[in-house]
Amino acid sequence: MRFSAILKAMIFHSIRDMMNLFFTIFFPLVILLVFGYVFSGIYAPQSSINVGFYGQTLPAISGIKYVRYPTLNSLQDAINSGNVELGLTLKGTSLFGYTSPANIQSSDYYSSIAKSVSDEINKSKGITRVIDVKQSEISFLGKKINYLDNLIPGILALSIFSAGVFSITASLAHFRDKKVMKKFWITPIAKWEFYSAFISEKMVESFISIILLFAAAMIFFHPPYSVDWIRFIVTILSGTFGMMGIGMIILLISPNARVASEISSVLYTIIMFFSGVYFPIDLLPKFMQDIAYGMPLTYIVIAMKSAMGIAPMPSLSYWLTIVIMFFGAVLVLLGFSKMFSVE
Amino acid sequence: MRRILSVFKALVISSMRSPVVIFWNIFFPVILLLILASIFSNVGKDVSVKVAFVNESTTFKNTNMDFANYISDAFKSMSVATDGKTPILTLEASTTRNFLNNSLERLKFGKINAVVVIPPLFNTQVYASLAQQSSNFKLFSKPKVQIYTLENSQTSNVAFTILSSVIESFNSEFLKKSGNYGDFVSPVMKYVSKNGQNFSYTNFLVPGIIVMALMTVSLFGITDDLLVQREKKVLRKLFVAPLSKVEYFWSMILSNITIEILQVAIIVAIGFWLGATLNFNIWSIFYLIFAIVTTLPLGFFVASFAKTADSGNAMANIFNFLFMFLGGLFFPLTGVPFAIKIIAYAIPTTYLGNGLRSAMGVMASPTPSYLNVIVPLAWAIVMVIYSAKAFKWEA
Repeated sequence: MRFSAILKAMIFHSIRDMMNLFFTIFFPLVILLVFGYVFSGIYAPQSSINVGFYGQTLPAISGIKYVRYPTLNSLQDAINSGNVELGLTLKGTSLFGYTSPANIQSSDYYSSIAKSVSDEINKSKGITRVIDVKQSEISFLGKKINYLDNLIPGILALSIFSAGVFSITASLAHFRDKKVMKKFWITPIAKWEFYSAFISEKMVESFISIILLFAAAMIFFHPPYSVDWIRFIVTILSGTFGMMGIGMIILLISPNARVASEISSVLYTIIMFFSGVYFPIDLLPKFMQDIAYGMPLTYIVIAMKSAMGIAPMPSLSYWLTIVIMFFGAVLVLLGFSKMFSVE
Repeated sequence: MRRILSVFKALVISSMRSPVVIFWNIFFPVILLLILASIFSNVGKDVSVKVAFVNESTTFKNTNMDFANYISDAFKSMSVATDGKTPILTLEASTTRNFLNNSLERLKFGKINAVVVIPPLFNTQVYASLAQQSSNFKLFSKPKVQIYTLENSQTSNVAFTILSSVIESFNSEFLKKSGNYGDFVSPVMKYVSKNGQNFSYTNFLVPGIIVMALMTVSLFGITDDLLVQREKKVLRKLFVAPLSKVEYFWSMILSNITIEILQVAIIVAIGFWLGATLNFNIWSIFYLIFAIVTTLPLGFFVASFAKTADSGNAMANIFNFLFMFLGGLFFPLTGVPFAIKIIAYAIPTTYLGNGLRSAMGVMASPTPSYLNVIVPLAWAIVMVIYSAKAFKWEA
């Protein structure tokens, strides 16, 4: 009875706390939408491309729309001003391809276009490669996925991290700083009732925010996920719980809510770039990979990707991660309850 | 003036003693620079990919026409460590269909990065293809090396580039032998930049990180300092002493500029260490000062419409995030929806990033030079006027 009363009070407190709503729902939503639109634009395959050329006419290739320029300088100006993305000019046996350094992330794509054009020129001369190379892409899901589809589970995992850690380092720390907990302790409320209501409310809050984010991702970007709902729900709950454990450790070493929040922000920022959310871990240098595999968020990202059906994670590894996260948090919470002082 | 210097000294010492200020203003930009440069420029990274090689070729085995074996040897030579360096390939090779199926399954699970398959009649096809070059007689289809990669995996794409370049070198040899190499057209990619071929992603990144760092000092330093000190009534106490608001304001400006100069120096030094080629001439130093001056009002602007330190922090986060990613500081914005483009072209960091890159000789600015001055300046003037009117020194 007292549990439900505290739970109700916690829910009202969370709903009325604008900062809490901002960082739990609004800010992750802004991150999702901005990253979604920015990165889907940067990495999206294009159906056609404007290619400027100077000098000799180049062979027609589907998907390429040629624009002629009278001089090499005018072609380079057009590339710099973004009127064309790629410029080509044939000098002897070299097909020079000019691109803007600003489009470095698409350089492979531009090289492949220049290669296709040079292949066509060679073919028209009767010169072909002796050995052809055929690339076949296979995917774990069996459906075509893009960079954004890979990014969304990472953003959800980041939200799990922030919901778990900040619920402790912001909310609980503020309760302590404002002496709310001290006041609770002089009532006949048992500690377990307070903590279990607090944790339950934060778990529900995290769950709702992740579901809302997931719904927003599905509505705005239509990713082709094949969601294993049991894994999805278990990952959210155990991930939030595990991250609460980390929040507890931070709180234990912080003198007040402000320091706890600052440590959490710093940790969040470091973890964000090392956990395979934005960049694949195997593209990092070896020492950074070692750091990445020491970060708990890395495993939530992998578990979330496996729950959404876009990356493999054997059942044993998955459930081991969940159990470690869950019981790790339990141990931390138990230790915390022994050491934590409410004043 | 003495009072300004005293408060300035106190503020600088306070910043230097704060681990959070040091992290956000110095360590964070440096970490970001190192991570992005190492991912996109191969700095400090030995590229190494895991490849399964399936040689199904059955004809001309162990003869001088065993082309499949030559390819296999080329791959093997790349899997041997030399001079203590990590070999470019970790190779597993076999000839069985079972190994192929198993390798494809492992590729699907990301355990390896690519699978190369040489088909059964490969040697015969290569031989026939060479013979067919000088005649119109087509008996065999062209030899094809199949390379399986994992979709949406950048490492797998790197593996494909490495493997296909090996096949390409064989093609070049064949063309040389056939006498057609002299007419063979090859693509040569070049960047259109002020530094020409010296361009690297690090060159692009360093000015972007500098703008981000300047913005961070203003957004988190000034906003936080003003609002927290206002909330704790420190400002009120300060103004009881013989210190005017103008004096305090200038002290704060000077202390932030000092931190910004320090962070710019560190970022540039790390940039040079990573191999960046940046020009430091009068124009680039002038533009750097211009960027410092025009980003400073951001913090005052956010502080002027935030009622509490918490809400100020939330707003600073939103501004920081939008200005950082929509300003194209780390990656240029291409193919984004119209609405996002409008925001990108309305915010000052887009122009500051472009202007600083142009001034440092990295690349020609995609936006007109006059806009790189006018837009940030207009933002700064509006923010200063608004802040001067709206900021309340007492909560």
